[in-house]
Amino acid sequence: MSSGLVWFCVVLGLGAGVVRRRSASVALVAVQSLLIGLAALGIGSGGGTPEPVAGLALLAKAVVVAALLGYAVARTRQPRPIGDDAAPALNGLVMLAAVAAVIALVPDGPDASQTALHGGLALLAIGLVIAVMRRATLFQVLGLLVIENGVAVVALSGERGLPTVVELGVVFDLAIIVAVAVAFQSRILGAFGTTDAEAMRGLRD
Amino acid sequence: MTDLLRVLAIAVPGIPALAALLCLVPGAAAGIDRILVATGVVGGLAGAACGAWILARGGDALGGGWYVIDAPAGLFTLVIAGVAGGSAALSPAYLARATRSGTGAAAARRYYATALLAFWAVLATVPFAGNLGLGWLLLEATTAASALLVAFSGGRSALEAGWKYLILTSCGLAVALLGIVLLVVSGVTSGAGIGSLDFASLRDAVPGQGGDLAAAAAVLIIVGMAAKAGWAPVHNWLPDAHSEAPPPVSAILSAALLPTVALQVWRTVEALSPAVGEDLFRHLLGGIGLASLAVAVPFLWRPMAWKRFLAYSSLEHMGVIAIGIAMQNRYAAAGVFIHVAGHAAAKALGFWAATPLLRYQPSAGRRPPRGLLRLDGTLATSVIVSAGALSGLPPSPLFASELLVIAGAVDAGAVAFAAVTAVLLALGFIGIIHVLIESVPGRISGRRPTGRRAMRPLQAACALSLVALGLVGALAFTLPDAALTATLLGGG
Repeated sequence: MSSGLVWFCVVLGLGAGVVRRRSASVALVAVQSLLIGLAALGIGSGGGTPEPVAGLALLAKAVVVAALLGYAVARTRQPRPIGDDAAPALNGLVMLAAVAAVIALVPDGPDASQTALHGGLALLAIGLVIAVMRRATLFQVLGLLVIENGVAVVALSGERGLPTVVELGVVFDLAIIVAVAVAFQSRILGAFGTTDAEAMRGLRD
Repeated sequence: MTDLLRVLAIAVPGIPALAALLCLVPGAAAGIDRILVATGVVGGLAGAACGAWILARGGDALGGGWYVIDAPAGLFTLVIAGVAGGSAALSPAYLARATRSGTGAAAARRYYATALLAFWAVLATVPFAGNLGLGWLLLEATTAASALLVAFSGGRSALEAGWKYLILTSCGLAVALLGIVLLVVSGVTSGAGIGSLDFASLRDAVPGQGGDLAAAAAVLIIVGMAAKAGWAPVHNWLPDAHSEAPPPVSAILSAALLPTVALQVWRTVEALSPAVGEDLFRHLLGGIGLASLAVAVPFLWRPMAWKRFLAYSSLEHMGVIAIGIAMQNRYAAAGVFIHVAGHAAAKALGFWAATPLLRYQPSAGRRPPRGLLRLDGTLATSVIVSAGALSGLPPSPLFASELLVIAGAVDAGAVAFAAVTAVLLALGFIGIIHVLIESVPGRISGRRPTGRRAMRPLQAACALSLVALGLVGALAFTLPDAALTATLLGGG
């Protein structure tokens, strides 16, 4: 993957973490996933060896997961977007701080472009911050997807990526997990009257 | 004979997988109870036979590529078969109270049985995974079915617990996956394709191969898998999921799933130690284990609902297992082996007892049980056996295993670490004994079971658990010098 594409994916991740509406965030993560899938096929990647099987699987995942999340958004519409404890700007700052910390902590590698390694780690940090700081439960799924996209960025950029069998399995597993998470969304709304994670704080010791 | 063993190893996950498919056949809803009981018995016996056969071969392993049939696989196959088989067979008793009659209830029973059997089938495959990537995929695959089961009752607490479990463990495993990718990028793996992540080929790496990036990758893999294993400080889902899931599911989660994740960690540690060094794992896993003990012990002292108490006990015992894996010597390995088996027998019994306990003393769902001796003898005996064994009270095999893990720490030169572990275990012991004193004697609460057959399933489970605890206890002190232990350390 080209450096420009890697950092564009990181910017999309940041955007997904700061936008207010779930639908906008789903769209940004879907675009991110599609770009990574296309890059795996060698389209618009600015070099690198095309990986047709992984690329097609990633594209299929992008489409299926976006459709599932779009369905979840439509099924769990609420009168107004769920507010967050922190302002979007503060969320963005926390994400940037986490990105800087993770990149500083993880050493450089001999067998991958540093940009891809740093981009993948940045997406890991962004995904974790989204999952922790955003209150709408769907954002926790989006955080997971951003982390998985970070994994794909690193895997596609080295001379040796993940074995194809494992990559296909990862895509399949992820689609199942997202499908289960989508099933949870309607049930959470039915039981709590909202999909705000703050409402789910009944289990405390 | 080895071909027959391979066939049996395929049948172990195959039986519950086929039964899960059978549940989906139209018209099968009426026979769900029979499917669950039959699969529990047949699948449990097949798994027990397979596990016992593998263990009887001692250090003689088969496979060594993407699959491996070795002593750890034998132990975990035995454990999963016993716990999941028992849980499947005891599920009709839970379903009889949890679902009302009618079409919706039939669909709910079908949904429960399919998810439980699918979960069992995937879990039963994990011990045979001889490949880091494959092991990761299987662990991730256990998440979907088990999350649905945790939220089965549909109540607010169950949904909260199921959601937390789904998100936290999936995020943890995503971090572990990034670790696996970084491992490949670091150059520790050799060759291409699925074989590059075989534990056997990872073991061939020379010290320092992959440099600091390999070490960072190893940390990410362990920390990520820790979230799935329920180790502190990434354990937040564990008490909620174990306490809100149906009791037979809690038994599988606690007694089989968590230790099976630890097995994957164990295989990873053993495979990556030549490249990144044993000290990294000793410090990391030792710290995780000690943190788990330190977090769990204060909760063992607090009065709480029976299943939630068992959940914190799981955190404590997973801490002991982490410390045992961290030490990487024959005492600690033998300790982990005994601990996994003894904990499974005792903890599964505790959760199985929760079904009749919550039926006859519903208040035990919110606060500690009380007056069990006057309520029902079988229930009281099951709670005494379970909590007594979990406390490490001699002759519980967990007394021997904890002693072996502490001896392992001393043998590894971590004397202060061993001392802190011993103090925390002693404090945990006092907490559990206090729970027993509060729960067993005293005034009766709830209503007594009526009819002879009401407690028969629990009587059978209690008898089997006692036999299992006795057998494991008898094996305990012979294990450090057995050939089997060398296999546990990767020397087979």
